[in-house]
Amino acid sequence: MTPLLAQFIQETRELLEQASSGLIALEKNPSDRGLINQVFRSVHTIKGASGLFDFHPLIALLHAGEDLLDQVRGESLSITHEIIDSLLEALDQVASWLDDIEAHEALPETAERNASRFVRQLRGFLQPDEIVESEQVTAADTMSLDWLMKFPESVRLQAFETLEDGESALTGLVYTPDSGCFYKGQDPLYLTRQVTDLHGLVIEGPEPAPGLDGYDAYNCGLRFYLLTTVPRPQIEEVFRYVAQETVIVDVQPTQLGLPGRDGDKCAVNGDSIGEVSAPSTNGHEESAFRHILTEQLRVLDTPTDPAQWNGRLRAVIQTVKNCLRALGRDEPFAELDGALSQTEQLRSLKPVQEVLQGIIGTIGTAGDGLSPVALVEEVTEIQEGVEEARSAPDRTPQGSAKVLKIDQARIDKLMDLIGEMVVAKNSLPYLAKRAESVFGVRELSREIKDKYAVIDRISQEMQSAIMQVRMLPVSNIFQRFPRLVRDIARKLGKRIALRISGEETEADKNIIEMLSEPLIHMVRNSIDHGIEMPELREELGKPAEGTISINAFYESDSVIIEIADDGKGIDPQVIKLKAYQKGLLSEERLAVISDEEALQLVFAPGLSTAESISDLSGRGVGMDVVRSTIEHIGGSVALSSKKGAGTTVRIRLPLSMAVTQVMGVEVAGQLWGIPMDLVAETVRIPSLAVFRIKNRDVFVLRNRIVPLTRLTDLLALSRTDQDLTHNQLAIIVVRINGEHIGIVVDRFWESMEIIIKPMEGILGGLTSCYSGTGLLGDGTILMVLNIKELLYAH
Amino acid sequence: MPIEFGKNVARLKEICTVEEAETLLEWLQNHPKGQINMKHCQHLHTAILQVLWVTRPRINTLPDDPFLARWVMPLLSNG
Repeated sequence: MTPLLAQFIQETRELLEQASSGLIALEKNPSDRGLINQVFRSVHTIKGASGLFDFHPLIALLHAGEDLLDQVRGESLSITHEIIDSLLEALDQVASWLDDIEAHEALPETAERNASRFVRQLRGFLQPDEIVESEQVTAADTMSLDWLMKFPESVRLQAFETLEDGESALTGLVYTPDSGCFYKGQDPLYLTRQVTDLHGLVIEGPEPAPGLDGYDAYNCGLRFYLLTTVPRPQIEEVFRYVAQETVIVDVQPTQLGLPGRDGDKCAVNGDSIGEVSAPSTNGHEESAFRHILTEQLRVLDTPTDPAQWNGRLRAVIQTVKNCLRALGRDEPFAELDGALSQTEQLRSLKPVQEVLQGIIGTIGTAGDGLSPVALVEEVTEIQEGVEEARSAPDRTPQGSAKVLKIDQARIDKLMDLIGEMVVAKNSLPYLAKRAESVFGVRELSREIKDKYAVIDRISQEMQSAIMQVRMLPVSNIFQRFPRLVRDIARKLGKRIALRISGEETEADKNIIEMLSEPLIHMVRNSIDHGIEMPELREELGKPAEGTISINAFYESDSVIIEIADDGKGIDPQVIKLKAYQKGLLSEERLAVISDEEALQLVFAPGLSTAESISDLSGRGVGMDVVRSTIEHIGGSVALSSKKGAGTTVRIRLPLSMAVTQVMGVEVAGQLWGIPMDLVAETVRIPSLAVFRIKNRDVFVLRNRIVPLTRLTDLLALSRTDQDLTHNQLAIIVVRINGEHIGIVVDRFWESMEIIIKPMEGILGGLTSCYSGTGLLGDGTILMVLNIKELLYAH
Repeated sequence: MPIEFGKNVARLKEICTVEEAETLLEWLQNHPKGQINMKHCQHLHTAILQVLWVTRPRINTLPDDPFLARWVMPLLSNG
């Protein structure tokens, strides 16, 4: 993929995002001119930039959207929900095409058809009196509609009469087959035959040249013009394989150029009817000819080798003659020829120059000497598009500073490198120790320690700097919610206001990415199950419009995201009953479980509280996935709810998942790691303080009975008697889902900061035992235990 | 052979395919006064149309096929 295309894709995605959010905001404030302009500019910029590439359906669709927005902007059309729906759908289509372009560098085969569907839909909103104009604009993009005049007047008249009954629409098609099309097995005439209700067919080809030697019969030089009443989709269907070679336009009666039929346009076109064979000119062409002739004067003024004068002179005269012929004037020809022979005789340019100036003076001054015309404008438009696309990031509020866009893989690479460096650095103290104990050089040892301190500081700073690079604001996920809420709410007929705060809160990129699915799921739940229908809400004395608020903020070294709604809430009794029915809750538990605890059961697998399964949520696969995803990235989730007043889900996330604090423990002579966030405390108790209740060891910690288990048992290692000899047990108390559990180990080590790498390859299947591995300073590999799973397994 | 070449007349019959274009072109180059009979021609490939377009031979019998007669032949007339 070329860098230009890659940039186009990326920038277009941003602009699409801007346009969609603008549209949604516009729905609330339909009169906000700033918003309309913003959306229009975004779409316009995308269209301009896509002109650089060969994606016709994309451009056609964007063009239709732009026209529609232009009318909204010009206040000849007021925006409605339906228009916004269509525009959003169209933008979605563009976004999905972008995915295709990114994957295959081409649009899918269905693009042409989808594009025309959207174009028709969008054009359907246009004010009728402007359709004609905008159609002309469309056509002007590729070709002016002048070619309609190629059809004989009788054909146009007949077509016009067909149109007058108002039932059929006329479609025009210009088909310029590729010159090599015969080699591709194409037969353009055969395609043309497939068009039934044909009203006119004109074929243009090379000049007739009987008996021409060496003529290549297999180089197609024909061009087809068709006029038909067959509906446009059918024509597109017929020509779908040669879509790039065709231009299809809807022809309005006024464009048929028939005199005496309504409208000014007819009169204008009518002028040219009588002289179809004679070339017609307009202001633009005249100014172009003036331009050409003035250039000829300049050519004459340019000094050159005397030997070339004759040729140059003849070339200039020929050019002038051609121009005049194109203008339909041949009276100055004799004058020119005279001037030419005079010049040759006198060996002076004067006669020719004078005649030329005379001719220039007679050509109309309309158009004010501007050079031709449509092409230049188009180029300018594309340039503008590029300029705007370039300056686009500057308009977004957060990006006033210079922003570098970096491939994620490179950051990950940096991350890996710094991890290795920390490990390498940690080997220095061992080296210092060796220098002293083995080689007895105390001074060197001290110097190594000094250097170690420096490297340590730098590497720590580096690590935190790289972490910073990986931080992303949560707005990355939040920005999708306005659209999501709007769409679902409209679908369900609910009225919902969305309040978002704390979008600027940042967290590690991986966390943000993993979080988007669970958050979307929970917001959906809130809309689907939480917020009541407007009528019901009014009966209950609530405002008809429900509120969903999403809030992100820091709390100590965590990021908290809260999703709250003011809907009907969750009834703990219903949850309890459901959980009991589904066997998630034993009868004894059912009797004692608190409401608070019962609510957390919504995260249990296989519990769905929705009474009916909708296509949005309620299949009972969701909340448990939400919880496991969040726990996977080291976070936790809790739910609180008040019946009738609403539900709040609170997600707690680590700031960064890169560095993890683990507690080192020794069991059976081996070192293991336990994630620090699970560890509540470490205690030593006399072995006599362990009691047995039923089949379990327990001990009493601050008047609470804490179940006790042994790490040797969990890991199926042979038990050492070290603990007994000291008559003391080393116990790590972990807190899992609010419950405390004691784990007996042989010895505590210090806590350490390591970068946990996931288990890979064959070991990847062991995640129920280990959450990963980390490298210690001396190169030892530390296995980090997945305590939660281990305990569940027992 | 969908094209029968006579002394002065080439008869285009049924469906004239792309392969015949070259042959027809050669024949027309060798027979500048050659005429074309299209009565039984049902379809002619664009390449053949183009040969006729460029060489503009005299067409002595128009095709029975309505599409060719209605739309294509007028475009090939010499006037």
